[in-house]
Amino acid sequence: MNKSDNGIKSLYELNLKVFSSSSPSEAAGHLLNAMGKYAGKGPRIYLSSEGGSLKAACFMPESLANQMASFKIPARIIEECPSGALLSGQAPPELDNLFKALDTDDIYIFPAACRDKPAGFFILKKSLNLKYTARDISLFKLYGLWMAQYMHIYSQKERIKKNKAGINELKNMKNNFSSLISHELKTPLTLIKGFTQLLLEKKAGPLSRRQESFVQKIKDSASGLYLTIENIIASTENRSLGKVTEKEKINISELIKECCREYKKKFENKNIKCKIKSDTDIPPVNINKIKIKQAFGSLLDNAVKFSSPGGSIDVLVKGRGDFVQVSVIDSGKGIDKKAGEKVFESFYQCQQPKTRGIEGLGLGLSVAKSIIEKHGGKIEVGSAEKRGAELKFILPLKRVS
Amino acid sequence: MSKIMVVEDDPTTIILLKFLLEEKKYEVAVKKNGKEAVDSVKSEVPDLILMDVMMPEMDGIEATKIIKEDPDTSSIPIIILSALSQEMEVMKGLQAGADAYMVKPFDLNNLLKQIEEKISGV
Repeated sequence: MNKSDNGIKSLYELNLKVFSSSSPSEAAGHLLNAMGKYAGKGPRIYLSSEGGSLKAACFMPESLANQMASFKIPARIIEECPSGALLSGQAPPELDNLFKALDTDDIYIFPAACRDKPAGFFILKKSLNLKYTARDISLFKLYGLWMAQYMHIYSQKERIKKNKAGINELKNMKNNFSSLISHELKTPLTLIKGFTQLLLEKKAGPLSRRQESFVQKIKDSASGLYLTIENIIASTENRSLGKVTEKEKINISELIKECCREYKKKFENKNIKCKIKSDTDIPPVNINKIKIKQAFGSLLDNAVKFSSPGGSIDVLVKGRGDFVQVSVIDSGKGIDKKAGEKVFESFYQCQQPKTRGIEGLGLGLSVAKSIIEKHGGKIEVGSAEKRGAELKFILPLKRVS
Repeated sequence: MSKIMVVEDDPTTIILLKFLLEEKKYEVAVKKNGKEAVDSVKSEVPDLILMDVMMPEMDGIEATKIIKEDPDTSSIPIIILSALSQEMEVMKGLQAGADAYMVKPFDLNNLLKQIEEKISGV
């Protein structure tokens, strides 16, 4: 191809454009542009066909395709063409009306057929004089092939989208079901556990030895039932694969403070003040110490990266009932809503113009997310009304049963 | 005498919680769903709210959000009691502003401890 092809400098480039189009119309546009220089040529009808499931390749803009559909181009037009044949002369009678509508009676037609189903046609309007060279023809063939491939991929994509939507709907139904079951089973269990506990603590009056023993049996039975229910519910949920090994009971408050101490140098380098505020008396967490340190370190790295020199980082450790919540608030520019969840995607930082130039790959937060989730926790961007960004995660606490 | 608002629709659970709390000398006000809680929180001004999640009319998450977003009531500690233990649900509750999230079935003494901590503002 030479440079007069409307800016597309190579077949490769055209290929890229066609396959990165978001619709057949857009892809068509690229093809048409590339073919622009041929647009006045032709006195012939050219049907191209290839072996295998791809009979011919061609394309047309959506609006035109709709028109074609209403003309009911019979499939035999494709079938009847031997490979690489050039049909000269008059157009088949079925196409008469179409040509009248296009105000032409001499065209190049490339039917696009993917697996024998015509998906569209590519039409070059008539012109006089010019001949198509063999090279032109093979280029047309290529273009048409690409186009048909593209349309095939596009329809697959559409199908995948539909499936995804269906799967999401199923997921939602399953989650709702799971929640409902959870609630219906665990509520009575709560009551059994609660009332037996009150009885055993003699809060409803004294118990005979035998009564106490019987109530204890009810309580133990309920504990067993609870474990069974947990197992059933867990098996219906999609937990992230990969278990965390080497867990131990850790005082999370101490761990966080230890981590911050290790970051002292990094803080000092940027003249950042780090303040830790922690609840006391938080029950222990059951975690892999090294991994959680890694995860929290990523949050600190992130905070240091985005805090301006002389700024501050606040670390909060709060007991939240059956969970502990750790927040890291920096004094940088903050995270806008749209970026929200995306910050946990690998390499996200690299793609954002604002953060390019700040060192690092942007892998840290996605790894942190994975670690936290494998521990049964969750990490999110906080509702930051304050200056700077807030990243917070929760971890389940060891429950006293 | 600290007042605790219990927002819960299951009658037997109400009996359990009421007994537990009154035994510890808390004053208990019961609301049957999120909407009742939201409508009465300003006039009753509880010292703490125990909030169930799955309720008709308005669920606990929404009620928590509304109460926490209102500057007149945002300082009232809210403990969510829920059968749902998935992290996403917990995050939802905490992001809505809850001060604690306890998963059913909870240990009664744990619950009392949490109530004590949150009321005294620890």
